Amino acid sequence: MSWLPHKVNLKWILLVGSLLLPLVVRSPFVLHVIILIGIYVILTDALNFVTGFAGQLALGIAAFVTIGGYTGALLMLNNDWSFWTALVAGGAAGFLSGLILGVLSLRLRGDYLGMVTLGFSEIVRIVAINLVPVTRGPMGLPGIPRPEILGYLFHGDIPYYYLLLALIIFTHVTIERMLFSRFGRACLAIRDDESAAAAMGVQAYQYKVLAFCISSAYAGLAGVFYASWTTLFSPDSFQLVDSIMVSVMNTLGGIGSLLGSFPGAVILASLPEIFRPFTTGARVASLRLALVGLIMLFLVIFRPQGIAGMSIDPVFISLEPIRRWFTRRQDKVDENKEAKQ
Amino acid sequence: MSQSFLIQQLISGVAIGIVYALIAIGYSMVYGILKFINFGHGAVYMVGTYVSYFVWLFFINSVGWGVWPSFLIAITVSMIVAAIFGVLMERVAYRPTRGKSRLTTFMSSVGMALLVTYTMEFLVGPQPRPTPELFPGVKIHIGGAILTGQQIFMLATGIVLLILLQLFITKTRQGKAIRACSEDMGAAFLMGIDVNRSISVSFAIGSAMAAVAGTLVGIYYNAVYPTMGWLAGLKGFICAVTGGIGSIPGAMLGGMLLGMGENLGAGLVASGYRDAIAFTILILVMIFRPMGIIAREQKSSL
Repeated sequence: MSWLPHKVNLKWILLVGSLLLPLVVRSPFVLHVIILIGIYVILTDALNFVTGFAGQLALGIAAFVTIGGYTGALLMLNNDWSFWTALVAGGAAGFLSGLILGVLSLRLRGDYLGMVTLGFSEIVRIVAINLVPVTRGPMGLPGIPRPEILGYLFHGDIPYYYLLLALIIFTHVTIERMLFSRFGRACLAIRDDESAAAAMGVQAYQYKVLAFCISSAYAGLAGVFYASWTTLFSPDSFQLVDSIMVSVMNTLGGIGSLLGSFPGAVILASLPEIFRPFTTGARVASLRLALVGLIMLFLVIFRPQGIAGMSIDPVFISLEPIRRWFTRRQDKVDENKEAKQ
Repeated sequence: MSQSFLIQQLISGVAIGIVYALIAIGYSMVYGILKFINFGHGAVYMVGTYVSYFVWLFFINSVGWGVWPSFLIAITVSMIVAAIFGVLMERVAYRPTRGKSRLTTFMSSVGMALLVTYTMEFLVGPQPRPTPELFPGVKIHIGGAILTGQQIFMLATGIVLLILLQLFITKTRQGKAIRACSEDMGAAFLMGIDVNRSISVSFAIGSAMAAVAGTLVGIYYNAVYPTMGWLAGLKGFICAVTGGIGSIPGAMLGGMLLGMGENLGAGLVASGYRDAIAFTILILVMIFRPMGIIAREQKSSL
């Protein structure tokens, strides 16, 4: 039994499970929903970096998804960039717009920052609607090309699923690495007590802006992925309620936890599919958002720490039951041997 | 650009701005006492609008009264319902989080806004509904600009309500109590002021004002829809911070500036950018003058 470890890190289980998922899920519809959930996982992880680790309430993540999505889509459509370079460009666009907004607004604190980021996201949406010569306005950009890798053109949801998985892993691993770096520790210090951090020589404003930019860059990446996956990007693809939704996902998972984004995003993003059997059409959307609001209220009042609290420690799943099961079988075999003898 | 165009835009801006100021009152009074941004205020505005819309139609269609008497009843009912709704909202969503960080209360209000807005959308459907007309065909010419009866009505209602409110806050006992609470809640409590009552009264007044504002805007744009509260709420907030949050003349000034800025900008750039201009004003005010234009004290609470 020595080959079986006593415990295993939850993230390896998640990784293996998600790698094997398309083998189990046969329905294209379910896979489609899973990809949508995955996009929310990236956004929640990205938001958690700025809200959970750096302690800044940002409510405008949709703005950076929109900016990244349009940047990537326009470069692919007008300049014939490949998906991969457009993906990088979308991330860069997210980073730069995050820099502009962050430099302007991160001196504000708390709910005021939330309102300004929310206002910024509305500005982005309105510009996208009205800048018709570039964005085609509310009709959106259709026919966004699909990625190609080593001569293989993506079709169907399965390659997109693995691409998204790679993006999620990239996002999560880089965020985890940053969290345990000097930069991440500075962010945590700012979150816990900004004045104390500043007194210790942490350049609070610079670090906050950097955290905001990085979070926006991930949102930009997610935007390019979304644009290529749906092949259509419009100003309404991501809007105000989506920003708030991501915020609720983050709260549900645990603001400032490392793995909380996963349960938070999975639970809330799969809600509409749970309702679908009971009601149809636009009512599903209304009901979902009403329920999201209710969940938010309950969380804030009764369980503000969410599912995972503020834990940044790795989660281990004990393998003892399996070990015991194996050992018991081994004992039985031994018993039989003894009986024979 | 002609002079009459400018005057036209400015007058329209003032008319809609005074309504924004009515919305801003709700933010200002609540922020003054509890120091948090009540994101759910837009939802109260929407609920108030729907109440007055349904009551109005009920009295016109089922009872058979005229447009005006029905309107007066509708607006009274909606003010009362919105006031109760606002007070209930405070009890349910904000009081349990009092004493925690103001971000917690803010997130609670975001949840409340989602819950109320989309429950309403679930119940009545997302489509905009046209309202009856109060002033069919009434138009007044002032120096080349045209004012509709609706705009004059908005201006008059707004100014009267704001003056009444200012009198209430400065002259009455309850108004004094509210001011004392916003000055220092703990000290006010020690002086025997019923703090909870003051908070409830603030919510009630803010919500009733929002109901009036919503009804006026609904008639002005001839559309009532469940998500109307998002944008209106944000604009009310912009007015409140532009003028200086916590002050009634500030809210009025902020409303005027926002209304005029928006209308001028929409006229000069493109009408589609109207709301973007409002948010640009928000960001500019936040960066350069976070304590608002009428600053009561230099120490900003941001």
